[in-house]
Amino acid sequence: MIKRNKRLPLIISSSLVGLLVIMALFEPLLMPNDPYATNIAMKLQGYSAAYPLGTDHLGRCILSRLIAGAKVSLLTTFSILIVTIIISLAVGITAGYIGGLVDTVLMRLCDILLALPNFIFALVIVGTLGGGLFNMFIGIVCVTWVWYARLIRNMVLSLKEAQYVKYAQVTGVSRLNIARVHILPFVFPQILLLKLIGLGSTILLISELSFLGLGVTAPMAEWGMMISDSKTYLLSNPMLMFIPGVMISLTVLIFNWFGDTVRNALDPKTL
Amino acid sequence: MSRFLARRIGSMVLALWGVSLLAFFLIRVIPVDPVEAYFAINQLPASKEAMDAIREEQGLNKPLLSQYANWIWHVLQFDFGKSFGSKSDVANDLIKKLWVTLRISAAALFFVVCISVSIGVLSAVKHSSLFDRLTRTTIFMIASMPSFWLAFILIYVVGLKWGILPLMGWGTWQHMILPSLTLALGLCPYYIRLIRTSIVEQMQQPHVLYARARGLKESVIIRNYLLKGTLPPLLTSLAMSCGILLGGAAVVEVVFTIPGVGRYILVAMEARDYVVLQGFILLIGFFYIVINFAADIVCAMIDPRIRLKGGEQ
Repeated sequence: MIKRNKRLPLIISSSLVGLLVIMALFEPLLMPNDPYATNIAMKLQGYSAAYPLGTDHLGRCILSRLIAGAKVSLLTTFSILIVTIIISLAVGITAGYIGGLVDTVLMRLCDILLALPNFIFALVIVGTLGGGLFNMFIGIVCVTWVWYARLIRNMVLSLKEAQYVKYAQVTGVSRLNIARVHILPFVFPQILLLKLIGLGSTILLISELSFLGLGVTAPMAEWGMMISDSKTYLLSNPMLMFIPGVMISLTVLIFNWFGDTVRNALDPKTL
Repeated sequence: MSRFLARRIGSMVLALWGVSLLAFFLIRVIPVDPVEAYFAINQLPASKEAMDAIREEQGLNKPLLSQYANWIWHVLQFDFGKSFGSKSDVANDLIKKLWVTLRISAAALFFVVCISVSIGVLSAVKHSSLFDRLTRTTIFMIASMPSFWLAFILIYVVGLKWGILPLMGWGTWQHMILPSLTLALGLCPYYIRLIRTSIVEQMQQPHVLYARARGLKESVIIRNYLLKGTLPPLLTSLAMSCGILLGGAAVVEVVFTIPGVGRYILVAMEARDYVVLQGFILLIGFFYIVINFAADIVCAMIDPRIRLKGGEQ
């Protein structure tokens, strides 16, 4: 049972995450204007009833673009989460449970992939593939699964020595069933928790790559790209740069906080 | 110590070889022909003769293994080949650009150590105080901000509003302050937390309690006991951060228009200059591996427990 003093932050942070998800899911209902409709006559406008947060250099509604950007960021982040969990579980359990040559080969591969700094590796993959949303997705998945796969492999190694796994082996349960029934249910929640804590940094990575022009491509709205677009108007229109940044920071803050509260709620050791 | 050293050197050589494989095959595994992409991106007339001439010049028509052997042979003599586009010497260019990036990164590391050691120690010594709680909230917020946005805020406030530092560009030492501060701010939250936790944990250790019982001055305890115990995790993390700094530098270099290795590689990627890319991966990988190796060795020298365990995690 979760203690009361941990329950309140958990409820608040998860409802904030819920709010963000609802915003991303029901974006057409929330947007005051079409986020892609350009109107040069109305460019770089201040706040108004029609454009609550003003317009950008092409006369597009900033608020609508922020909301549209939420969908891109969150959707990409969650798909990265799901795919990396699947890959790292598959590789980690295979390496840890089968062991021997399979283990050695897979772990050496991980070593090589970890030899480059994460961001640079993602940058190089996305750059050579040629940018775009899908290529960015591939690049980030390529760099993030490795670390988790190694973690899972180490978990499985110690789990293999557990009495109940030994017992299952002796009684002739097939390898696949042992992995499915005895190992996966133990490993999965721990990896999910770790990935939840890392969600914020994935959002940051997406916005950074998009800022460099390697992620989301032109008309699509993305927060990092909105900041990159506003570079030239820093002097005349600093709000153009300020607002999407606040949006990124708030989103990352909410996800980081959510990860922290979930961890605190589940871990009896922390106060 | 010698056994530990031998093991670490062995794994370092293995990692270096791995990076060379990665650098070489990454570009070839990707289903884009570098020569065709190069012609398409740079809008050159893609006649078969012109493309074959480039393939011949770069040795791309030879079998893969002999290409790899040939490349390694040249790399060992510090010859990374000639750039696709500008035909300039890649090794030379990379070193020149890396030198700029390294100076920014070093300044950033300096800021990181100064800021996080002072704030980390203060909030550990006065832990659970108002200062500690304020610090924790602030670093939680800073950790959520994208670095390029922080950079723009700094440019706007310090450069434009106060007008005390140059906005962008590269040249004097003043140009280095804002970029390296941006990089440092991104890392500080992590380090303040690391130092704080490490010191708070050590305060309960018997040797620190004993020192306090002997009546040593608090400043002596902090310097000789608490900070010394924080050194190994700090050094290991700083070495790992070099990778983050080199990566983050790409973003910061774009914002501040600094001619460093990050911007160089972004331009090369846009032009599909795979020779440059290959050299870049190799050089960064080499750098990162050697720094981590050096940090491990220093840690083993400080803390004998590490070398007895043989450096296994």
